[in-house]
Amino acid sequence: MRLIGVLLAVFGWLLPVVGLTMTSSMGVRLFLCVLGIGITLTAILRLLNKAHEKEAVWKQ
Amino acid sequence: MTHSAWLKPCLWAAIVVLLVCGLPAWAQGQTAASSAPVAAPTPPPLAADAPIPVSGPSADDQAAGDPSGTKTGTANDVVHADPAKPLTLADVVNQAGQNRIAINFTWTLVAGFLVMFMQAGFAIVETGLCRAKNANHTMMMNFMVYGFGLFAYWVCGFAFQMGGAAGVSILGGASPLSHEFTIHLLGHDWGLWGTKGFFLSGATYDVGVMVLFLFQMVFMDTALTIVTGAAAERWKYVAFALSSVLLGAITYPIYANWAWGGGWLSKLGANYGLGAGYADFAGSGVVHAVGGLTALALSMIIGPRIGKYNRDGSSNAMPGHDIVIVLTGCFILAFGWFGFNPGSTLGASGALRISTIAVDTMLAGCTGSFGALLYMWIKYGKPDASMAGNGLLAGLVAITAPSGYVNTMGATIIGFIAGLLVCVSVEFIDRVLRVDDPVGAISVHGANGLWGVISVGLFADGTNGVKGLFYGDPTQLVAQLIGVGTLLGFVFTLSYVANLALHAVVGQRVSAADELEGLDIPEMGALCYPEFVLKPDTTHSGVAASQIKTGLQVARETA
Repeated sequence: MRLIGVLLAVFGWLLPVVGLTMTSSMGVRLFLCVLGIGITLTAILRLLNKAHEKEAVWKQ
Repeated sequence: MTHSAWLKPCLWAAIVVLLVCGLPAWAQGQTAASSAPVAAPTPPPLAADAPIPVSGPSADDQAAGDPSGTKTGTANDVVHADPAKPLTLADVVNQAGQNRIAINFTWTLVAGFLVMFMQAGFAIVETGLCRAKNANHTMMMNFMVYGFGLFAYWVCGFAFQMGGAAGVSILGGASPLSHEFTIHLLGHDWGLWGTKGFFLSGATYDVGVMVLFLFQMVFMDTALTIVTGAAAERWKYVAFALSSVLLGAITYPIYANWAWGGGWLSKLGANYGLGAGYADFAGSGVVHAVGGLTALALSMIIGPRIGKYNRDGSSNAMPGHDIVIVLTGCFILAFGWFGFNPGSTLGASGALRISTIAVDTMLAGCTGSFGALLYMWIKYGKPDASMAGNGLLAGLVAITAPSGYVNTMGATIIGFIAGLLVCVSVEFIDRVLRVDDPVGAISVHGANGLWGVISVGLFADGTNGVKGLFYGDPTQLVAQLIGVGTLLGFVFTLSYVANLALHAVVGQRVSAADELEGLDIPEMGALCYPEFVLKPDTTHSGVAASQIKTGLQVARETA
């Protein structure tokens, strides 16, 4: 889960960056930015955090 | 009387009035006309080495003292290229240039000293928000992070960040910082890191480079000291030292290069038409979000403190031990922020907007504390002191990026939103994510650092070359969002992977026994308050309070 989380977080970053070269439409670029940030936040706050929460002291 | 009989005297009367009133006016006009500037012949250009016939007070005059200050700072004080010859035009021009750079050096250095003093503010804010049994450990992390960070930055961090940033004209050029490692990809050059300035050696042994180094170094150290707060009360000291070195040597400098050192983010405007490129005036993203997101990564890895959460996942409050030093620290930080933001002009001569930046900074801090105070007062019925302090810091963090680009109304709104955001974020991180952050560093610096970056794309008024969405340019917002995505996707991930590797090698977390005892003795070998009787910790489960030694007992045994 951690590996998937890390890969997804990086993907969410690269999506709008690569998107810059794909389109010159500001609307599409803005959409890709929001989408990428959403993917990265999901990866960090859901996947990575859940993976560590399983090992938390208070759950043992 | 006939018609012509009365007309004649009237004509005469009119002539007399005209003569009486008109003559002086005509004479005045003639005088003015004669005194109008006549095109003077252009003087011949003065040769650079031509002597200038000026002299200052004599030696006898100066020997008599100068109580009024009128005989000090005269032509006598202009440096002559050849002391044996009279003053020349070249001497005067060189002195003017030297003065401009000297003003900017002095401004930037003093601003850097203010930012350095913020370390003291962070130290006591974080220590005050921790429990007394960990005070020495928390204080020592904040104390030594300065040295660890400085050393790492001197070895390689500065080179990675600013090694290709030549052209800092306001500091005289800093031209030895002349090489950026770039790759050519997708039709454009992507600057990734600098390659000049390792150990500040070679050509970078330069007065301008030294000013830049000092100022950038204290910024980097601010990012490092954010992490110590979030991981306090359970972070192994050796892991803290290694993690800080990694952040100061690699993670921070790489992102700072992309934003400030001529890297690809700063070129988004030129290469892709995104406003002025990623704009982060004084570092909401570069400093605060980098520190805050690293704090989030580390807090996830090392987990919450024992006793923070119950088995059902509900959260327990673990209040700090000294609200006096917390709020004193907040004041110190607010004072230091006058170095942080206005100092980021890197000069005063030719950068008079320092006044606007300073006022924006004050206002945002002020409204940040208003926002937090109101939120807590309305929701919980009391104006919480520590959250008011965090609100002040949140406002200051948020205005750090836009302070060079927004007007006072924008600053006020940005700060107020930051004050509300920090409260919502603290609750979300504590109760929903269940990530333990004893001082609220992730919310203050991470969440509000990102908000500060976004706010540039919204509120920048175009006065200083950056225009946001509310002033008609949506492209700047796209550049800012790409910066946010990079902070989350690159900086967080790099910090996470680096600290996970460190966790596997040395272990990031202290033992449960050490944590329950308090880290002062197990990790540092001395209590912060040896004469205090510390209240036994009963918030954790499974350990009897009687098993925990008081501070006095530990101090006696140690002695």
